[in-house]
Amino acid sequence: MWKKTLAMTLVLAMTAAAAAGCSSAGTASGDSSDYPSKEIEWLVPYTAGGSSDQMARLIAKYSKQYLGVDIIIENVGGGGGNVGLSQFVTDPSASDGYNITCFNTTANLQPIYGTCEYDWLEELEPLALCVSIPIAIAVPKDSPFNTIEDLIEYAKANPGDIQYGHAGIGSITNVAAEQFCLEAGIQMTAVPFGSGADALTAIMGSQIDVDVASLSEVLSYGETGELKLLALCTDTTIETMPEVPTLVSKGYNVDQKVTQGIATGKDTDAEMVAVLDEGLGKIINDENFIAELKDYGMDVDYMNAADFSTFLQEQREEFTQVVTDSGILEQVQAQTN
Amino acid sequence: MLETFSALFDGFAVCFSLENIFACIAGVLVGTLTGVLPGIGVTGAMALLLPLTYGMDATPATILFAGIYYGAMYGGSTTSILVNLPGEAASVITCLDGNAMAKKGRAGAALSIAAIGSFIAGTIGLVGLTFFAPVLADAALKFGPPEYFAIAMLGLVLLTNLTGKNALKSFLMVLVGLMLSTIGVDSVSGISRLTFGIPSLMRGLEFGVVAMAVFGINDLFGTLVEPQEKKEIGHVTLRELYPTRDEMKRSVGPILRGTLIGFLIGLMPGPAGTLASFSSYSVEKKLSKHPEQFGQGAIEGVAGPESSNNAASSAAMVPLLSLGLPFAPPAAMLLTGFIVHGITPGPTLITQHPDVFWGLIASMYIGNVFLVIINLPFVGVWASMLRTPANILMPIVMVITMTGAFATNNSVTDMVVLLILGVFAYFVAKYGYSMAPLAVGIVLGSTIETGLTQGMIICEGSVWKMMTRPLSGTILWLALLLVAATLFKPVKKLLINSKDD
Repeated sequence: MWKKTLAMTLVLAMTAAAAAGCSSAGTASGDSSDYPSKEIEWLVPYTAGGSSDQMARLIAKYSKQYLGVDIIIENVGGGGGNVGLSQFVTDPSASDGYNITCFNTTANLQPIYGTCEYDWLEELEPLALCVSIPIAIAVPKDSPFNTIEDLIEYAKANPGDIQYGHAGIGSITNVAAEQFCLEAGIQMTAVPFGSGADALTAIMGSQIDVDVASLSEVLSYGETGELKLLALCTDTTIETMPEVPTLVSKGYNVDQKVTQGIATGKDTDAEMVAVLDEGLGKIINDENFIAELKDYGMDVDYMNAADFSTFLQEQREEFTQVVTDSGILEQVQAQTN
Repeated sequence: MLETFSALFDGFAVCFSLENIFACIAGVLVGTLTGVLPGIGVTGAMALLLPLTYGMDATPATILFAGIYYGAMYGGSTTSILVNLPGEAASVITCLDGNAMAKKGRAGAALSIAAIGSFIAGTIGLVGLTFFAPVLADAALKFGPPEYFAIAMLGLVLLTNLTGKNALKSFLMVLVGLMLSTIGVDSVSGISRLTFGIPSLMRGLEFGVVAMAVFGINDLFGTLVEPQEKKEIGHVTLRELYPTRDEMKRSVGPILRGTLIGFLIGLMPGPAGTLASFSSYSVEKKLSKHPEQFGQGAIEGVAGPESSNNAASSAAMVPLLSLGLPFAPPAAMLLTGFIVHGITPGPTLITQHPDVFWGLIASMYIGNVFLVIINLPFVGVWASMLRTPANILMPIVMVITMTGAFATNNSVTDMVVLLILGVFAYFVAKYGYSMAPLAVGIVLGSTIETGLTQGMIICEGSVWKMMTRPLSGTILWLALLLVAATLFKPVKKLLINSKDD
């Protein structure tokens, strides 16, 4: 009998010990004179290995050189970034200057749909924009469409006949596609996929007619001719494939990209924000950093804290407009109710 | 064919450099360890090690990375067999008969068969990958969302009564599993469901955590609450440690069938490894002359599933290497590993980086040999662990499980989920509900849901169109026929009985 009791006690004690060890003990230290004096924690709200995570880890590598301290990465993935960001803004030390996080396109979209608890634009202080990836429109290699005009012409004659894949309802690829439809005055049927990779698999097997995807996902297939890239949803062409036209050059005002930025808690001391702004700017503009990031398939698109903040505000207005006009907002809200 | 052989030999030449051999051994060792430790998934382990490969060349880096992936499939069965705690999602079903064998003192045989089966399946799967990758990849692309839905439905029909006890109870547990799978943010629409405002539930229940709860914790509570007979395992001789001639003979068929099943299912996106092991188990049970032995420690129930999950991991390399498309999260990590080193997997990989491609393939043959060499001698060590008295072993298992649950996402919520589901499982199991159908429901849930959503849009909202599409149609009609056949007997009985009245 005593053995059973002992076992039970052991289990409980060890469980309690394990649980206690996991609650983090973080206290704020607000002195800015010798800032930063200890390592900075970067909560990446995505699982390890994704593009934001790679970007963060690369910045961390250069951190000692320009910020004088190390950056430690912690991944809290899930919910399209919501889980990690929620944890970040509810952490009492979010604004102590030693905690930073990511601010990506989704963080500026989700609050419009009301699918997250907080408005990240209000809860976070933008620090820098580091990467932007254009959105591209791709079709299978045996598709009857050879130019974006072919596609528009067909869609005008057969509204809703073309099926396009995107990376999830309300995602930036969905928004860019719908904005294109509005601008071109056409209708396509959206097929929502759980991720860009799933949509890519579907287009490779010609399960759908069109894939609206981030360029990094489809570029190599475009280069080898496995997919035809009809257009970029931006205003600048790409180096390796200058023949791919931009929608802006075709007269459609669609300028959407996946952006990966950095932010901190909204109440962070202004002097600390200035230090981070300057340090991160130096890292992102370092030649070696730019080259290494390119190896990962990401192009640096730098903005400092002030510019990034304005950009996000303007982007929010544009997003709100597009998701309302295209009916995406209605679609998302219909599902929540 | 000849060119493939000579290219493969070049690959072996690449592989036999000191650096690459070391990378291969390191990879499979880490993989085995990842498999053995519950909660530490393959994807997570690869993500943690990614920064370490930054300084390496492309070839050793990809060799190391791939080693973690297929190595984990070896280690996954260890804790399933020893303490009923699945080390990897793909080893869940091994708990049923593997652990039953351990309780009968045949842990060594189960562990050995798992390692041997893994080796055979991994190697045969590699042959498929080496010679037929492009053809297979094209075939895999013919399957779209309607087909994924159809396959998952067929799976649901075939796997619901996996344990074959009470059909109604199994069906109820599948429903519970399907419901649990809807927790979290819907990957398609981005809407949170059943999260009750708890942010960390937004990512959904982690299959690994659920599996640890309903098998491991459930069993642990059972050991605590129910009086234990004092078991003297005593000294195990070397001969008793390894499978008997009879056990070997009984395993040949399951291993080969498991390989085929695993390789085919592995070509499908999603939780292929888990699904493959479930299917193999179900097939073996149906084919067996002694289906009543399943769940009581049938070696076929270990040999088949453990082979199939290794074949599935070889098959997952097909779309990755020939098209650059990751069909499963670990494959996506492998893709990241390639990209970090400036290599884009896909149609051009073989022509542009033949050394990397063939070096990697050759390393997998070598890695599989290493794995069986590493794993077989460990069988004795693992098996003797069971001589530890329960009152010492069980608390250790509890701590490992709790730590594993926490490590899955760095989240305390997962530990709470683990305990709640563990208690739930303990009580429903007492009333004769088995846990395997619940796992089936969770694994198939999201595939069914997203497959149906996307499939219906692609089929322009017409169910008939889905039923007449060549591939999805065939599979769906087959599923319907099976349901009809299953219902035939009871309905006939009912009709005859009502006539008699």
